[in-house]
Amino acid sequence: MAIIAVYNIKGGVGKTATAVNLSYMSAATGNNTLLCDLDPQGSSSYYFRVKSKKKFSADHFLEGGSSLEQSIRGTDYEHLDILPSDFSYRNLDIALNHMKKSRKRLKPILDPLKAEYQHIFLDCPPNITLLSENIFYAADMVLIPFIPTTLSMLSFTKLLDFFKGSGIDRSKLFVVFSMVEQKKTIHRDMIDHFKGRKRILNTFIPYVTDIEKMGIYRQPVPAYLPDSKAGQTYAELWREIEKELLSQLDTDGPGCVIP
Amino acid sequence: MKPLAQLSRQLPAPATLQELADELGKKYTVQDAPAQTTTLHFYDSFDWRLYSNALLCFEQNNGLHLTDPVGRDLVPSLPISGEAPGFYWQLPDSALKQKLAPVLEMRTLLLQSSFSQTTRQLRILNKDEKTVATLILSELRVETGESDQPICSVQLHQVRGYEKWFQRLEQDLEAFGSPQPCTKEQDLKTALAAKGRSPQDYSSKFSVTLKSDMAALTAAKSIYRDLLGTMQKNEQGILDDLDSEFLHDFRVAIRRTRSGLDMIKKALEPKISARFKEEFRYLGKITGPVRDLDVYLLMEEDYKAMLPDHLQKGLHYFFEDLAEQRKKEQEKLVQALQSSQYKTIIKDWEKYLRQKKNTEATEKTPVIGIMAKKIIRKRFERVLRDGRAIDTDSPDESLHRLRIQGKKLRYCLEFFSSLYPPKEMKRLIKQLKNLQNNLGLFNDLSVQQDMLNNYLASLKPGSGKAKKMGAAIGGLLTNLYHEQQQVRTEFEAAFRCFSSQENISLYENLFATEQKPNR
Repeated sequence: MAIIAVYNIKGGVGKTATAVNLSYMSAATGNNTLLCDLDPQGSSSYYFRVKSKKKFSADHFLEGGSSLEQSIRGTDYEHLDILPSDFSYRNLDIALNHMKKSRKRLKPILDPLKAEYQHIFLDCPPNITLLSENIFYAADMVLIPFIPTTLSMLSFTKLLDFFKGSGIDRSKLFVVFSMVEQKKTIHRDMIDHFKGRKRILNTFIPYVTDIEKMGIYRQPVPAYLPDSKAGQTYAELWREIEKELLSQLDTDGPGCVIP
Repeated sequence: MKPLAQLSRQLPAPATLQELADELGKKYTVQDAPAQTTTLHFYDSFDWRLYSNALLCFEQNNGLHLTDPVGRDLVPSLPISGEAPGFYWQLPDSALKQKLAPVLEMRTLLLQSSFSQTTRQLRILNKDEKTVATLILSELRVETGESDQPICSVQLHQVRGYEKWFQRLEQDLEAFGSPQPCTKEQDLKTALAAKGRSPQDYSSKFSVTLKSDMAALTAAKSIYRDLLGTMQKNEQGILDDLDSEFLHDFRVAIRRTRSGLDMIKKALEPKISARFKEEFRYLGKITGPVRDLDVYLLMEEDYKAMLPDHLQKGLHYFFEDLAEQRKKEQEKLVQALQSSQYKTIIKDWEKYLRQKKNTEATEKTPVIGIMAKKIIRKRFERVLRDGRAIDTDSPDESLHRLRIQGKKLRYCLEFFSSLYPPKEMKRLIKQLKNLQNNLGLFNDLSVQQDMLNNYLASLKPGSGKAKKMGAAIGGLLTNLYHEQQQVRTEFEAAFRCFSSQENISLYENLFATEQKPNR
C-alpha cells in the first residue's frame, strides 16, 4: 500500500504521461489503483475521458471522506479508478492556507483510501506551493520525471534543498529520466553522469511519438500499444518501482511516519 | 466505499442473447468485443469442504483460482496445467496453499464439475466514448451427452461514478429472462444442475427425516438405507485410494449400522438382525487395518513436532515402514471389497432394505416415536451411571467403556434427531460431543501407546536402524503418556458438564415416557 506522487516543479516533463501509464501498469498487474488528478488542467482526467461531477470542487476534496469517494470514477480498465480534477483545484493553495496544520492536511484525506487501493498515484501540478508540501508529507514515494538537461538539474537541486529545509524525508525521492533523446549528447552525458546512483531509476522514458499520441487515442500507451517500445518501457519502469516499494516496506516497516 | 452494483439474469436461449444485444444497440453506443471461450474445472473435496467454507476453487486459463462465492480472488492464482491439484501439500508454497490447508486437511481435491463458457463483452459508451457500464453475455456448456443447448445469461456491471447508467440498463434488462444471483457460485450450480447434481450432494453427516408415527421397521430401514448409501458412495474412493476419509466415512457408516442393529433391536426380524450383525462385524474387521495405519500416518507431522532433531531419522524409518505396511493392507482391502462375499452382503442388505412387501411384519412393530424415546433414555442413563462410577482411581478400561457408551448415545441421538426440536437436539449433541472429545482423545492416546509398545517389542535388536527407531519410539511414548495424563485430569470437568442438572432436565423433558424416570 503506497502513495506515489508524480511531481516536478517544471511543467512539460512528461509528468502526466508517467502518472497515467504507471497507474495503468499498476492496475494491469492486479493492484487496485487510484489515480488522483490534482492538476487543475485535468490532463489525466482527459486521457481517461472522465469529467468531475458538477457539484464537486476543491472544498469537497479537502473535506475528504464520502464526499470525495462519491467523486471517484471507474476508468475503462479493470482495477483502475480515477479521482478527476476540477478547475477549482487552482484554489487549493488558498484554501489550505486558511487551515490549521496547513502542511499536513492531505495525508488524512488520502489515508482512508488505502483500505480500498493498493496504490494511489498523485498527478501533481507543476509548482512548489503549500499543496506540494502536503503532497510530500502524504506520499510514500515522490517520483520526479526529469529531462536530462542542466536546467532540470538546477530545479532538482532546488527541490532537494527544499526537502532539507522542511525536514521531509529525502529518501522518498526518486528520479526517472523522461523524454530522453538518445541523439542528444547532453542527454547521454547527463544520464551517464547519474547512472547507478541511489534513487536514480535505471529505466528511462524515451522521447517517442507513441507517447505523444496518447492525446489522440485518449488511452494509456500500454493499453493501445502494449508491444511498442514505449509500452514496454512503462511495464519495465513499473517493475522497477514495485521493487523499490517492496524494499522500502522492508526497511521502514508498514506505514510512513510524519516527522 | 460502496461495492459496485451488479446483476445477472438467466435467458431462455442464445437467440434471446442476440435479441438483447440488438435492442441495446438501438438505444446506446455499444462497443462489442469478440467472444471468448474458456473452460472451467471446479475442484473440491468429496465432502465439499471448500464450498461449505464459502470458498470456490477452479482452474481457468492454466491458473488455479481460490475465490469467494461471488468469484473474487482471495489470493493470487497459481499456474497449473490440466490435472486435478490433489492434496494441499502437493501444491507449491503460496498463499493459496496456506488458505487451503486448514480447510482441506487430509482430503484431496477432486474434479466436481467442468464446463466451457463463451462470453461476449458489451461496453456501453457515453458521448466521450467512455465506458459507463459493462454487460457480459454468457453461454455455458456442460457435456451432458444429451442436448448441446447452452445455458444463457447476461451480467450487468456498474462502473464507479456512473450509477444512473446502471439503473437505466437495469430497467432495459427487465424485459429479458429472469433474475439470478450474479456470482461464480451460480455458474457452478447451473453446471451441476445440468447433470442433475447440486453442491454438497455428499456430506458425511447423517441426516434422515423420520416421523414419530412411522412403524419402527420402516424408520429403521430408512436409517439403514441412508447409511448403506454413504457406504456405496465412498466405495470407489476407497478402491482408488484417493484419500483416507473415504474409508473413514465408510467405516463410520458400518459402525452406525451395527449400533443401530444393536439398539433398535425390536424393529427387524430376529433372523435378519442376527445375520447382518454378523455381516457388518465382518465388514468392520476387513476395513480396520488400513484405517488404523491411516490414523498413524496422519499423525506424522504431530509426531515429528514431538521429537528433537536427532531422533527424527528413527521416526522417518518408522513411518516408512508404516507406509509399506499400509500398501499391503490396502491391497488386501481392495481384494475384500471386490470379493463375491462383500458383494453378496451389500446386495442382500440393499434388497432387504428396499423390500416394501412385508407389511405384516411392519405392522407388528411399534411406532418409532415411542421406541426412540425409550432407546435414548436407556442410552443416556447408561452413560450417566457409568460416568458417575468413575473416579481418579478407576482403571483406564472404565473410560474406554464409557467412550463406547457415549458413542451409542450419540448415534441414537443422530438417528432420531428429526423427531425432536432441532435447537434442543443441537444442544444435546454439542454437550455430548464435549465429553466424547475428551474420551476419544484419551482412547486414541492409549491405542497409540499400545501400538508403539508392540512395535517396539517387535523390533529386532542389533541394527543401527532398529536402535534409531527404538529411540524415536521411546521419545514418542514419553510424550504420549504425559499428554494422556493431562487428558485424564480433564475428564472430570467434561463429565460434570454433561451430567449437569440442566442437561438431565433437557433429556427428561424431551424424552419423557409414561413412567417417572429412575435416577
